[in-house]
Amino acid sequence: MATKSQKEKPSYRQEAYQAYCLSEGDAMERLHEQWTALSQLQWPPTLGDHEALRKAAVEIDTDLIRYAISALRTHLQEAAIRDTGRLIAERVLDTTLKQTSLQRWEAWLGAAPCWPTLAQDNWPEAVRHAAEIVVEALSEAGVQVDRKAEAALADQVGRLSIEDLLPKATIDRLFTTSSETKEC
Amino acid sequence: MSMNLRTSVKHRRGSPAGSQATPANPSNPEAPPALPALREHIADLRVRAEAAHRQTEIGLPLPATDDPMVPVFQTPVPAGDILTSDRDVQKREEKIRSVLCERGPRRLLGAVAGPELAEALNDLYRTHPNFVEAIDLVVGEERLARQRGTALCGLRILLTSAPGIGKTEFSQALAAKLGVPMIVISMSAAQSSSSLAGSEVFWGNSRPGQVWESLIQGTHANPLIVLDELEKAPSNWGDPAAALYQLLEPRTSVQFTDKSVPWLAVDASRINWVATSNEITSLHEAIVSRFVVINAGAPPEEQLRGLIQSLYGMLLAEYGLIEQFPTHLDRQSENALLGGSIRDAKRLLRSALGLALRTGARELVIASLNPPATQRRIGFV
Repeated sequence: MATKSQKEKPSYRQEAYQAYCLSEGDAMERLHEQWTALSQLQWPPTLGDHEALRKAAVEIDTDLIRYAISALRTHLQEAAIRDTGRLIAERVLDTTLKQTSLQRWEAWLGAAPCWPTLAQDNWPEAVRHAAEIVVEALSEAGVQVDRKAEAALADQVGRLSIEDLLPKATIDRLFTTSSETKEC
Repeated sequence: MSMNLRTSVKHRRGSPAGSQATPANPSNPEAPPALPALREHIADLRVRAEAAHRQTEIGLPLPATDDPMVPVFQTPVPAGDILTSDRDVQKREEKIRSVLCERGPRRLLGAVAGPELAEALNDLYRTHPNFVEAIDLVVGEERLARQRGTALCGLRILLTSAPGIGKTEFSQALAAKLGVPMIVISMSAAQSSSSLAGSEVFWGNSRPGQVWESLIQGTHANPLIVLDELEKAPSNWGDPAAALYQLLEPRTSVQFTDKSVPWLAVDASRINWVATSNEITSLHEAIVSRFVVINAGAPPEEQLRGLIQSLYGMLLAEYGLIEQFPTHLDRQSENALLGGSIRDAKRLLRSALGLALRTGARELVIASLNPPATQRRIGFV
């Protein structure tokens, strides 16, 4: 069980970026250098300028690039969890006759092929986040639930699948089979 | 392209979506069961929270968190009038459907039979001794309901007596003891059955009646509806009591349709009804036969003395005067109030308290029940 002091400890985003490859120099400047070096490799000013290509290749910091890709992956996952959680909660709480939440789901999933995959891969975290949103929304509407009811609600939300939320036709259109799925 | 997400994602990196999910309804893939079930659960929470809020407001005990809930309409809600081209009708239907979706089909069952309810009902013998027969009936129904493990539902009592005996007040006390909401419908003011069963959908100002509203917008499946002064329902136009033929018949009230929402049948069979009437000869035999008729009658002198004391105590408590006036009414004042009805007693006690407050007196002076007629004539000679 967390002690009071642990609970009060502030959470800084810095904690997520304590990699050794960021421990020296100006991180932003180094990232810019990598950007420039990669651009020079992709579009060299003179194809025959082997010295310039060699110099650009030497400047590539593979550790930093791997780390940057990893950070992007984390960002995408966080975005997927946050957005999918919100969309699940909206769908659960939608009482409109036209079910407007369905349109938002379709727009979100259809924005790029990576989003349906991200939604699938991060589903358990997304439903947990959705349960928090649902409880908060109910509380704001004056529906106070005790811990037992909250747990029951979270359990029910947690057991939802994409198939429970979207019509089969939408799923067939937006989701691909595992062999067809392309990574984002 | 069709696929089974649960199967396909099982082998993927990360967590599988829906791996723990309940299976979708194979007969109707467009309406899987988990989402409607969850929405119903949330609607139940909303109804419970609203009931707790309303009960607190009117000083009734809070409903228990495990009080049973029962459906008052079937889901999925059937289609409405798809042939109508009237946009107002369509918009109104959309709003009603939205309310149905938000509030869900289930409502609380109040008055769950058990020793606690029996004890609360027994208290009525003390506070309303002239309604012994009615209380006996309710207590008997409670025992039967307890035997079946259910709640008190479907009471149909017609209280008849001379005016001023306290029929409406008894109904209020009964609702409070049952712990269910009470809706009073003054039948003398009703011009048609629309107050009970809604107005026809073709009227521009069509709206549901109080039965539909109490079940759909309310929190309980078994509220107490009081039909006050049933015999005074006008008979020269319309028939305000017409809807009662269906509503008071257990078999037909299960599928009651309000005229304003003809596409949705609601279960009104659990509603508890108490009608009051000063006499029953003017009531249609078919209506009377649907009730258990109980003649309340005037209480005997000793009971009336008790009632007067109880009324006096309630008035003191209501106006915060317990410290200022004696807690017990003296014998002389009691005697002065014996000649009239309970309504008269209440009126005279209020007047006496008002007068005492104005004059700063600590003793009540009860005015005469029959003041002498004025000697001065007014009018044309």
